Amino acid sequence: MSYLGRFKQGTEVPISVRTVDGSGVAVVPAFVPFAEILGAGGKIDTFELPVKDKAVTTGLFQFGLFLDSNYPVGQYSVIYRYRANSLDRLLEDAFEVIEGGNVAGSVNSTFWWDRPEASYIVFERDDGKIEQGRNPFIVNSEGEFG
Amino acid sequence: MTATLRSGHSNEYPLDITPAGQNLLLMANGLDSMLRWNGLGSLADTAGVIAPTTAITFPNNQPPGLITATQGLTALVRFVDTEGNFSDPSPASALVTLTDQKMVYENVEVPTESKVEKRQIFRTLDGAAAVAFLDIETTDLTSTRFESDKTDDVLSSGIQLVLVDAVGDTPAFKFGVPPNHKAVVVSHRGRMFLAVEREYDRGSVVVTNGSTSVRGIGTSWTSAMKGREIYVVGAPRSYLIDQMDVSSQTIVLNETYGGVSDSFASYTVRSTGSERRTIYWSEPGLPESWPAENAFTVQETGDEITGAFSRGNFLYIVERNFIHRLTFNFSPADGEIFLVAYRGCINNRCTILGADEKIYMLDEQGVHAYDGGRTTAPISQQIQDLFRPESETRINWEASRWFHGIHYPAEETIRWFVALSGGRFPRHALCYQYRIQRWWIEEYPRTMASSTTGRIGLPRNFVGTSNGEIVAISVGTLDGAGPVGTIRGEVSAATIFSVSDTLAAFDSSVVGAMVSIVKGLGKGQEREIISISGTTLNLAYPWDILPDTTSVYQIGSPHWKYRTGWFQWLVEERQNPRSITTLWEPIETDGIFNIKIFTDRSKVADKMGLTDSIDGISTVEGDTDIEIDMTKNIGYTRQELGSSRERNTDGDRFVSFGLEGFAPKAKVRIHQLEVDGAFNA
Repeated sequence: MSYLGRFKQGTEVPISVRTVDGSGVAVVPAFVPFAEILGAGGKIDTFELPVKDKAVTTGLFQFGLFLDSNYPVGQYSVIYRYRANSLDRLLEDAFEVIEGGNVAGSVNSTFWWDRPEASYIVFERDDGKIEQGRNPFIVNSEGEFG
Repeated sequence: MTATLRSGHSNEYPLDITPAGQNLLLMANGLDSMLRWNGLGSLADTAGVIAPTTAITFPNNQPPGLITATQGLTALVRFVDTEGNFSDPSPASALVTLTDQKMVYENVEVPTESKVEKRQIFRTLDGAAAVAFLDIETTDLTSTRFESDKTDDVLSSGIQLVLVDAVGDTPAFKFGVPPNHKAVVVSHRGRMFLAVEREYDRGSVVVTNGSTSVRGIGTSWTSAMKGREIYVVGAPRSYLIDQMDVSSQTIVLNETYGGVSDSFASYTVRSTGSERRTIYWSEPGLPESWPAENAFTVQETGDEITGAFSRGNFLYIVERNFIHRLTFNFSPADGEIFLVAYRGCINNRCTILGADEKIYMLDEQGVHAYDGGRTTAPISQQIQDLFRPESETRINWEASRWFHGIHYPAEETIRWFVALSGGRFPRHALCYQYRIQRWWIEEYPRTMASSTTGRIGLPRNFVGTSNGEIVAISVGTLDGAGPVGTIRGEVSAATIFSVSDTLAAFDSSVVGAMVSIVKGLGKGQEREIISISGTTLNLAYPWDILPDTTSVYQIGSPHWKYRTGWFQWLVEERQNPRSITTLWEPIETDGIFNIKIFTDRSKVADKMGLTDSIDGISTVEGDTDIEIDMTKNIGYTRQELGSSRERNTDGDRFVSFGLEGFAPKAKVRIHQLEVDGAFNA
């Protein structure tokens, strides 16, 4: 088992597995491997893992798991299942979700728009939402101004 | 408070947000339908109005009425949205003749878009096919059957729709929806232009020989990808996407797959090959009307179009390595496009229009200043190592789709936010002060994924960061710390994931800010605060060296560093005393900066030989820092650096100095660093 690290909501956990046979040799699996994510309350999600760098690496499958509201602070396990050389195989990883995150993720696009009635800041977040904020103001260590 | 305009939008590429006049924003990403927002509505809609595709039909027996048309007439319907935008008309109906009958329209298509407010039914006059007249305008959006008894005489004085004009154009069909496969929108001379293709290759696909079905693994395909092509690695050719099921992430091809079955296939989805170098434009004054024929092609260079911008009378089309320029009088259809420069830009967000009339661009060769004509000058020589593949520290071009730039006129500085590591989003900025032509690099504790310029009091730069936050840069002296609460103090205890100060009253605003050890054990470390438990700050990552009660912490301090080049000591030390003098602005709040000395090309700073503290200068034996107390009111320090080297004995030959610190609440200004007894090596 590998510990993948500490992550915040709104970021991606790199879920990856190398499909190997009983001798530890990387092989092409019989079907697309899939991963189950388990939390304190049981199974949260199951998904297939896409192949990665197939031309240069055998048996590498990777997926970026976005930590949305389904992943509150806590410990999680990742169970990988695949079949190699007619044998079903199972691997496990773990990761932790820590405080301080935001399910919105990063603000990927921003635009300031001055209109007659107000100023707006229009922005897109990593969670796929496009938002607008009217008449934004600044808060810093010297106080609030806007 | 913010409000959601739209959900479920693809986050694979940045969203290009462009105003079309004062009252409309257009938003495009090349993977979803273009959106529009008028600033007043609560939601953003798709731009343009989808045209009806079904022709109107007529019953076999029209009821008695006033209309006689012996040569025949046709009918069409179009939709009108809440903003008054029209769709293209439907296909024309078959001809119908009438003798003292009413006109009954059947199979009048019902709009699927909720923004459609009304339908307009037009018909031609008897025997005249080039112009249609408005017969019925209705807000009834559900009925499919309408009647009218208006004669030609009544209609001919009303609203007309020119189907074919005298020169063969079709003005009624100029309201096409904007293409959804282009990602950059530019306003130029009253029209909007669309450029830049987007490829999609996330995840992998399962393909089966002889089947039309393709399944995505780890994909996030959008409905807008229907009609594009899929290129599967190992396939004999590309295939057209005939149907797209977003919920199951399944494609149906227009024909059976001829390649080898593969459960682990890499692929790319993009528009058809002929679209690669096509630029579209809207009708003048109608930013949501995009006739399909309003398009031109940029000459083939073997490169990829990455952006476009307007300046003066020219529309510039930018590639990774080339710049083209379009000029026209009345319509782009009559325009000329020329290849004008042999540098380009990595993406549209990295083209910056400077206040000095130059256009600054970041490409894979470096940063260059373009004059808008045929001349472009490289300006990044001071940081050119970042662009060299063999350099230890270099730009990660794999993440270039998220690079962006911003101009801050008050500082006469342009920042390009780039990734210098394997991260997806930028955490560094290449900063250029164009007045004095100096470069420096800024590193941020959080991702800096987007930027824009706005005005709060005065023009300011705003940057989109992690945690869904937008920050203003160059405001105040601390990052993330609010006006209240403790931001500096002495450590009373620390664990691997926390630091405590029993005298502190922390404000919740510091969550997300960095806490740094600025003095004492563990000096130089900085960690992100993820939560507060009373007088304890909880951290994202563990300390390397656990702070203790000798440690002083500061919240929100930017960590700054400066390093000189190498100097060579003059040989005769007795005639050339060696010293370093610094001049700085004294501050009233606690703050220090450190001087480090590097000798003879060493990458590691020299360690001090004794522990001492006098006149605001402190050293600790075995530590690398000469610590300077910035509250010292003279703002001056001189440190002798004798090594007693004589001409015929060995000793230090080369020296370099580093200045470093964590900015306190007051602004740090270091005016001068003077080295005596040395010359430039």
